Amino acid sequence: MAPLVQAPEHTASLIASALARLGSVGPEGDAARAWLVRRTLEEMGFHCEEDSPLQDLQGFLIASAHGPEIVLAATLTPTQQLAVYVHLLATAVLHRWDGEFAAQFAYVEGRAPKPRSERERREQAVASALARAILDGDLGRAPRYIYQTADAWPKPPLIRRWRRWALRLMVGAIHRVSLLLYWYSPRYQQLRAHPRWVRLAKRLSARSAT
Amino acid sequence: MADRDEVQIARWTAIREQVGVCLRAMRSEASQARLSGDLEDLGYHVTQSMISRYEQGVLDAPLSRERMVGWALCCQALSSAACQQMLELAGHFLPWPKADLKRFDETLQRARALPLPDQIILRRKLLWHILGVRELPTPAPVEAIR
Repeated sequence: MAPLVQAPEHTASLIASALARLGSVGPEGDAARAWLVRRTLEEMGFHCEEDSPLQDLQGFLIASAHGPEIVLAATLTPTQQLAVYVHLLATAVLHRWDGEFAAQFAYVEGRAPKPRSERERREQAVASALARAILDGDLGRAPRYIYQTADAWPKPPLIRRWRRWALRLMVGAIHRVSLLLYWYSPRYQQLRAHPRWVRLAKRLSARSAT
Repeated sequence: MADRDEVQIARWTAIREQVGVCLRAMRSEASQARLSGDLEDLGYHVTQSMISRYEQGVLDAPLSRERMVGWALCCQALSSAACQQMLELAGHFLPWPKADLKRFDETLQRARALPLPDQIILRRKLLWHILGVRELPTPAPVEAIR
């Protein structure tokens, strides 16, 4: 079955790269960043609206077989638009929705209902952490398995496969443990975003992919 | 009013009472006035009087697929057995698995906690996704207070 949101991790990667190239421009540059994010989403098949008279919602995402759609409240500032776009995209990356319909709400601060379960609370926390990584322009601040499955990794040439198999097994185990900690430990989420950890993770992934 | 074929009239006459039972089951405890208002917010022209007559099975005009879907959406009953039976009686088909129809209903129930303008906007979007067409541009802004 085709995914509801085509390649959300690829979209997240494109947006993170684009925001990294744009660099840190401060709040006054958020209009440009928000525009960039919206255009990237539209290029990837999202239908975006920014003039909806929503009140308690900052925006929502609906994904169906007819395509994904993001609707934002008309009262949002560019900074808020940027945050909501990225948060909703992070949710799509996280859930990897199956079926033919999914919806996600982004509430105005203070208006969100309490999480219905511990799992939902964790999902929200992880989506927020992933959104921060995208906004910072570096998906490496989140565990790789959040946005890339092992199947998506490039395969090394046949002659070197056996030698790399053991290394990949070990690296895969490390990624899984990292993913597990990322889900259950807010402290690990902060630690994982630290530049030193990011460099270490990238180095580890690069070695296992070659 | 558009001319209807004799066959169409005969078919609707044969099923309208059963359809009415399904409509009543879907509406459950919600009032007809509220349902009429919800349908009007979605762009339907279905008055409270029409709702009553549809449920009694006495209205001559056949209920269209779009109205059936809108009715079920406003009652959060897209996945209900009554909705399924109603669509089968009328020979209509919604190309959605039951699990997704349930997700639609759960989303609509969750949205009940939102203020009315937000609910209207969300329902409109969901309706167009369910029916599989792109929403037409609205000629007037949504009223904040009815």
